[in-house]
Amino acid sequence: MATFLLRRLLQSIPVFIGIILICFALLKLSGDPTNIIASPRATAAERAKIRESLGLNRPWYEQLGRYFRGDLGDSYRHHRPVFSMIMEGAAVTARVAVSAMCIAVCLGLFSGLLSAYRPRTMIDYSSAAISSFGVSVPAFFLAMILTLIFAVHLNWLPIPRPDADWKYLIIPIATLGLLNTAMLARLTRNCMLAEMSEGYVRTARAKGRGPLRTMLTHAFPNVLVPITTVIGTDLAALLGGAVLTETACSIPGLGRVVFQAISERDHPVIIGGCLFFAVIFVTANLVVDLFYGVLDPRIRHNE
Amino acid sequence: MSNTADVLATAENALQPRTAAGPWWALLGRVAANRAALVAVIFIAFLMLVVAFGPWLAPHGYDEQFRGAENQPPWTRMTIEYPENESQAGLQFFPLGTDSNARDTLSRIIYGTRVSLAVGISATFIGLLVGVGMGLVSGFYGGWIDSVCMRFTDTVFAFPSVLLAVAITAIFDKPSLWVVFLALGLVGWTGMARVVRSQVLSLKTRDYISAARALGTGTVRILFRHILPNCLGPVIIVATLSVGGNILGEAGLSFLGLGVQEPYPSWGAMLAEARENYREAWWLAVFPGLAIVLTVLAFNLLGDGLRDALDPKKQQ
Repeated sequence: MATFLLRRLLQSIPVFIGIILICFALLKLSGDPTNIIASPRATAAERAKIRESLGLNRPWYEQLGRYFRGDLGDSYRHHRPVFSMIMEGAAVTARVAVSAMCIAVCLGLFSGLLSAYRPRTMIDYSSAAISSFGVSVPAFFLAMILTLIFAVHLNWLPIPRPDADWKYLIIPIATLGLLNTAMLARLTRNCMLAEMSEGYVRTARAKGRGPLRTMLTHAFPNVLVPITTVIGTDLAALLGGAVLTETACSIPGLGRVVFQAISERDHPVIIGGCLFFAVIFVTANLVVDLFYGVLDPRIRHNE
Repeated sequence: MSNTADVLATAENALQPRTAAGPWWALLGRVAANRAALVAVIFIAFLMLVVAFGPWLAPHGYDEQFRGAENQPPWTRMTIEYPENESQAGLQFFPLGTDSNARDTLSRIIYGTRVSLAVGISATFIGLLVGVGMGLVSGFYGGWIDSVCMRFTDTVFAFPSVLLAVAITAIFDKPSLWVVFLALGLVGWTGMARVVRSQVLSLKTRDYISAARALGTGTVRILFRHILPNCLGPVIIVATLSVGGNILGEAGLSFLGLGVQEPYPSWGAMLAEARENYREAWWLAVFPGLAIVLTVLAFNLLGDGLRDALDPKKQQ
């Protein structure tokens, strides 16, 4: 186990180095950020001054080397440490992402299991229809519709504004929660139906196990591996910031921070954001892999 | 004894993919038997007609402004106070209302169909080229080439796709439709690469590939004549599903202001404009949004229908 962990952590180092190198190279190729930061009428001397204050006049290996010493630097625009900007955005995003995922796991598994328990019935068809709609709706449209219904029409919730307070996060949480519910419900249903046609399920039923019990104690544990994988990657994607939902609900999350940085050519924030995504993704994959061993004893990590 | 060359020629012939219309018609029949997929096909055909005949179907121009008729609710009939030309004089009808620039929502949605479908299909095509190429190479050669390709695919997949597309559009100075094609295509090929790779992995060990090799068929010919045609089923499914995904992607980029530029309409851009006042003028958000949902739903249902039709387990 310890060797497995250690090996995985070592394997992720090249990923981080690669991401820093690729981001750095792409950003250098995308042009001089002073063109956007300086006013169009700035003189050459003023531009040179800006370049100096941002450290852009130093040799490239010094600019790059900083990242390998773990120093993300300061934002070009906001003159604040990148690390704290990202952490502030991530704190808001994490609240939304984790709550949305909790909703999605509860509702998605429940409706998927219900569909698989009574396949080809009204319950199954209506749940499938709702799921099909759910995977076809743009997140920002759903957020706008929920705002129209619950904030404007029914007046139950406040109109969204750039605030990280819980009451302003309910609509984005519901939006992302419902969208992920649709995906999980589809996945659970399909995996369960495939599993229910296996021989051991028939054997269990033949031995007199009730249908519900067979489903929950025999078939369900066997679909946990694919479901955990999807939950892990979806949660990682949500933690990476849902730019569209955050824009639609005007919440100051990580997606917004990085989106703004890209539009403003704020290079240190972009690189910091990319590294953060990489850390999230590698961690999520690692946790999922560790769970595999718990969920399925046939998967062992020691070889 | 028949001569060896003859046997080899027959073998080579037998290895050719069947090009008769038979299997395609059978496939079409199976798709049509699925009611949801049939409705989806009809809806997509309808969208194609809207794309082709948009300018004739749209009651007004996409940038035609009716001064004095700002933010009218759906089903409004009114006389324009300050007609700008003769065609605006008299009673005007706005079935889906007007926006804050006094433009007809229905006409803008009709013109927006062109953007959505053009991007959805072209970006899928770019994704198809990259994904199929990557999957073929990765699966066929294996070894370190496979490892490098797949790590690269994983990295692109792991990235938040909207932000990656935003970054690609940011490299270009001016946002335009071409940049959107390219960005979505370059982001959306990962699923295709994985599917093609897994197909190739299983196909390349089959006897008919060894037979083709024994006949001295070159690698390129094996890849394109013997392996690729047998991956077609999964490729078609993934491509159909990714048309829907790319339409969603275009809407998202336009929503962020990176797609087609004003005054030309796109469904996502219409929703972005609606952000200002959709709380009062709900129709500005609801109709373009429904257009997106229904179109994406149609492509998803068609993709699901194709998957069922091509699934050997479900064939009687």
